[in-house]
Amino acid sequence: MHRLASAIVGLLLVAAGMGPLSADARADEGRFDLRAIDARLVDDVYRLDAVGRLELSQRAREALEGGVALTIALEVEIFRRRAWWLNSEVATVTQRHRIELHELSRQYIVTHLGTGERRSFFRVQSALDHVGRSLDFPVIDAVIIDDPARYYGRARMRLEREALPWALRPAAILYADWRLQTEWVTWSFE
Amino acid sequence: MVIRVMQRLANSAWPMVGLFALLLLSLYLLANFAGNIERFGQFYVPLLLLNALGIGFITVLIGTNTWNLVRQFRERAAGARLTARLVAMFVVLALVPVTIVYSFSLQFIRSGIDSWFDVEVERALDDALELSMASLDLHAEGLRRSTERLAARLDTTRSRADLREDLHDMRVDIDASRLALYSDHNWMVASSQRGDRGGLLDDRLPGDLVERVRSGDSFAGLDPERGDQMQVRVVVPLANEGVVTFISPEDQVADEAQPEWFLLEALYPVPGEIHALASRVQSAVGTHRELVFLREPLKTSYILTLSLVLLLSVLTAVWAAFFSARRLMLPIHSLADGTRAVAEGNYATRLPASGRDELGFVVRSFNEMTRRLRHASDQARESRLQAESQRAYLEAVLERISTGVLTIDAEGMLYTANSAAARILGLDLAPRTGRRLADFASDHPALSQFLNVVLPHIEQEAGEWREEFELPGRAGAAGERQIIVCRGARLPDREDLAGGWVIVFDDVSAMVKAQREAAWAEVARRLAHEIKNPLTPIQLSAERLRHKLLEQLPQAEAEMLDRSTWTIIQQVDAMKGMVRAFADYAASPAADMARVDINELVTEVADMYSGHADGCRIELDLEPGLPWLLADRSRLRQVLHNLIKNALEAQRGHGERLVGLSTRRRDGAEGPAVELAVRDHGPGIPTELLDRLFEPYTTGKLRGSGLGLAIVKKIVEEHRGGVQAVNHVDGGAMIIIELPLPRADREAAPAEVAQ
Repeated sequence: MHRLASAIVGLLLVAAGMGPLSADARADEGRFDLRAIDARLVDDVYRLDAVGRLELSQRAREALEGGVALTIALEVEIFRRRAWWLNSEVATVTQRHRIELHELSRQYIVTHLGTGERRSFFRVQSALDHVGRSLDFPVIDAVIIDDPARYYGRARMRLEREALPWALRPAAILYADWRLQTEWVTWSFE
Repeated sequence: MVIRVMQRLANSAWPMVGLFALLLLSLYLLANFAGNIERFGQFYVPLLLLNALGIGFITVLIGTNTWNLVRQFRERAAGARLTARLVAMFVVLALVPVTIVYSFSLQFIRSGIDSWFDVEVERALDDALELSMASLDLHAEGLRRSTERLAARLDTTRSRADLREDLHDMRVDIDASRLALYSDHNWMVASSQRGDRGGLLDDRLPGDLVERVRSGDSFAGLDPERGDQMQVRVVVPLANEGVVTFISPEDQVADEAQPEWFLLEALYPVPGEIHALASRVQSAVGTHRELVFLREPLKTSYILTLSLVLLLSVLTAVWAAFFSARRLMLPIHSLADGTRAVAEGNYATRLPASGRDELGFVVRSFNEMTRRLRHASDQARESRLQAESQRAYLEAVLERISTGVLTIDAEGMLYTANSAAARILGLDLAPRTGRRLADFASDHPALSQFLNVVLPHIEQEAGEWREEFELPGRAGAAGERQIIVCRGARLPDREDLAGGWVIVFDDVSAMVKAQREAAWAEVARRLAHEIKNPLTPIQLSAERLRHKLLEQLPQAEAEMLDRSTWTIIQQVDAMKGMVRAFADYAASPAADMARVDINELVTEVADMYSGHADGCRIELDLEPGLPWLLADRSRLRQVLHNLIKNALEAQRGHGERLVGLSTRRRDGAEGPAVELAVRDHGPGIPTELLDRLFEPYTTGKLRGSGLGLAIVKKIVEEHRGGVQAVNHVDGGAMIIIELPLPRADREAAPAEVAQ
């Protein structure tokens, strides 16, 4: 769907005379990588530890430096396996962090959009490392997981392009260096 | 299916108007996103896609229209060239102003967005930011120095509780919101914070701050972590000057992990006025920076929206051009189709009314023209039907009259011939129509003789003429000769008749025969009457002479008288018989018609002859199951007697006399009939007698009245039958009688009826 949308918006941009994405735009595409993931049962709640390596692309970094806030989401989906049928989605939880530049202090502020907690960092990578390290994230109550063998979860981290300013969205759909997300990483509850 | 739906959509206005309105609305929303980002921001890309798909759809429709137009153009369809010209004109008319507006709009968008970003304003904002930062740095610098002095006073070798006490005292002294001591591994050792302060601070310092301070320099800067209250954070490194005693085992610091450094963190609230100013500067700079960064994407988005609007307008114009051209051309197409239909003879063509403009006038005129043409055509057809009806009537009359009618054109070709002509001449003339009369003279002897009479008159181009002549008899007509009365007249040489001749002829044989028979009957009646009267006195006189004189005369005279009177008496008897025969012929009694089984009758009569000992034998060959005849039984019996007698007499002196009697069913010229044949094995009938055998006083015998066969013929004709005499190929004569079956009993056999 996104590829189709990219193609259509790209065609429109070409038609509007702004040209396709250039070779330079591909130079630094950034990379989101989910390296470790584990779910633990603590006090009847499954908590997720996810560690990822997040590197922004040049274009995203420029946007951040230009005052654009970026939202990075950890998306978690829990499925129940079913025989002879598609697996059913039991729960979907998302943890979002917003990264923005604070001009006066020249620091990057990371705001946990769930709790409102703010942390400041001098370097953008430090901020990204903080976002990429999500520990003790409660994902589902153990009561729901009646038979752990039949359940599995998957998670990914991604830059939410739909949270970007509207003027950036066509470009965010068009250019690959805005498409920053990890693969889905799966774990089991056993 | 898909193509049909596309063509339907492409040809109908309202779905397209709806689609255009929808796309225009979405484009309006796109164009107004700047003011409603929060409300409509999430719909931006879907709307963009909707427009792209809509425009793609319209493009496909226009492609369909174009393809149709190209196809019509190639097929040289009526109006295709004009449609193409109209479409091209509309497209050019739409494209030129739209393109001009588009190019100016592009310019306005670029310059308009650029005008938001005044260099002076930008510089002023940067300066304000710099000033704020400098001011805060200055403030922070003072706080750093006081914190460093404080750090110099701190004894890190004291216990944790003591340290906490020290920190508390110091914090109160310097009016900090928080004072905390961390190990170089970023573990909090002790802290003190203002009671009313929220516990948002973590137990650790930001990692990159620790790294920064590890270099030995203290840090003083703004802490942005609390959005509502700006703070200055000062972090001062302290060298570990002795063994730290406060590290407890539960702090998980082993001996080898004795801290080399401590970090003293102090948080100072920024004074309210500075905080407010700095916050506003931060907000304004942040917004402006974002705007600057989004300048190009904004232009792109606006140009994209504008381009979509332009594309939609152009496509709308092109589609409208096709639609309008088609609407305009509709009456012209109708006219072309209507003209073609009229050319093919369909005068009922009516075109749908098309408004009150000039085209509407043409359409109305066309409809009026076709109405008049139809009227004229109907009248012509009516006249033709009338003419055909009259012709058919004339033909029917000609077919049903007994007079033969032939028409011959000016070239001497047979033009028409009615069925009576064919019947009289005995051959089918229809296949010979259109051929020269002279060419088929040899086809048939009767025709040849007919033409011998007719052709000289035609060749002489006589005006009117009349001839009477005989034709040889046809087969099945008892060999009788036909007496023909023929009249001819020249047809007027006019444009509608083109000259030629009409020849009318009648077969008057029957009439002549009837007249002859009537004359014979009269002759017979008078003869009988005239002869019969003196016969009785003659006979009586002769008998009296005989009676009176025979005994008185001498022997010699008596013998002579005896012979003479005997002869007179015998001859008078013979003459009486002859007179009776004449009387019978002249005065036939009324026939008593009844159902007769011919086979039974034949058998009955044959039995009367079979018992004779004079050597005669009757041979029967009767077809079983013959239908009833409606006939006078006694008269038919007379017919059989006459014929059998004739047959026997014809074989007199031939030893055994054999007569063959046969019956069979046959389909005669007048319908189903029963054929009765009587055959002898005598010398046959002389050829010269064949034609007149059935006329009175025609006989081949030495003795006979010559009325036997005439009576046979008379009786047969009273039964509406026919009689024919032929010589058999194996010798002997054969009389064939054909008696028609009554209409109702043609299928019923006597046996079936009896049942």
